[in-house]
Amino acid sequence: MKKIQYGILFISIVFIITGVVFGDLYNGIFIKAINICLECIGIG
Amino acid sequence: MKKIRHAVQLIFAILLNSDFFNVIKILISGKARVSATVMKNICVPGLNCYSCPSALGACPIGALQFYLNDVSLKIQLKEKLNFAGLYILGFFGFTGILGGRLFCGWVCPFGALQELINRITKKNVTLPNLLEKGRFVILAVFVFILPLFLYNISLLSPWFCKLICPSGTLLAGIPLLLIDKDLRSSASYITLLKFTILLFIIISLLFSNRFFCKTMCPLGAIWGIFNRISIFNINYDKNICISCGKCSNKCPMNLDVIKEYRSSKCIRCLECNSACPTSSLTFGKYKN
Repeated sequence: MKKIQYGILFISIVFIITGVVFGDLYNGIFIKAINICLECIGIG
Repeated sequence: MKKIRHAVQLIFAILLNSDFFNVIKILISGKARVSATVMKNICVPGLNCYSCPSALGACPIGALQFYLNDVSLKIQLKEKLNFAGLYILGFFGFTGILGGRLFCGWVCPFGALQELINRITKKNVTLPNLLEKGRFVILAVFVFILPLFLYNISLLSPWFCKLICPSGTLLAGIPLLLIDKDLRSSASYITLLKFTILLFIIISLLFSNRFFCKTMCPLGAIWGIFNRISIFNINYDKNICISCGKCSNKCPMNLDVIKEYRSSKCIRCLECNSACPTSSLTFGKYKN
């Protein structure tokens, strides 16, 4: 179990670092959060 | 333990929603806008709508849907995929493997709000098992399948946010619609649908504590998958258990704790730990 737990933890950390370094967080996902998410408030 | 947990929930609710300058700006201008700091690039461990005027971070379920929309768009346009999705997957994996649904019980502001509403009646009816499986259906259909496959290039389609999310309606929809009259004039049948769902959940909360967490929350469904294997977990020593049933009586999720202490339904509120007279239930590093 320990191997599985720490394996998932390690992969998750690698994913987070890869996403932050090589991904475009601002334009890829969160651009909508900077504007108003009309869908979230029930308009769009 | 209960008082400590409520204090932690309150601290996180304030921390995650502490852009008070934005609230003041909205109140002065009468125009809806959301907090636009760099913090919006960070997912927060809870269902906290990022359209809420004071929300600092991004809701991970919203971020996941927008990412899947983005994947769909990039495939249609034959563009290179954005690696930012790995960050969201990593976030779910990291938080999940650490504590499973621990964040539901201790951090999520919408969970805290549900407990507050339930205090009016303090009733906690056990729901049918099939109804409680609803959160996995909502996760699969509204968070993964529809945002990925039913996507219009001109509109973003976070279907869970759009049609269901009561956190968005309550924390973002109501305040922004009250303040901004232009937004009010754009209200449609979807607004009515979302308000009806919110009302249904509020009424249900008067009969069953954490109704939304039990039956609909996709974030809880993801973290619940990790409950059996998380590094920090509930451990049970059957040798010292006297089977008094006090743990199950205290459980807000109506679990038969001795049998289901690592169930995907458990929100790790640790009420069972405090109720146990022999300390046969403890929270700590995973033990077999």
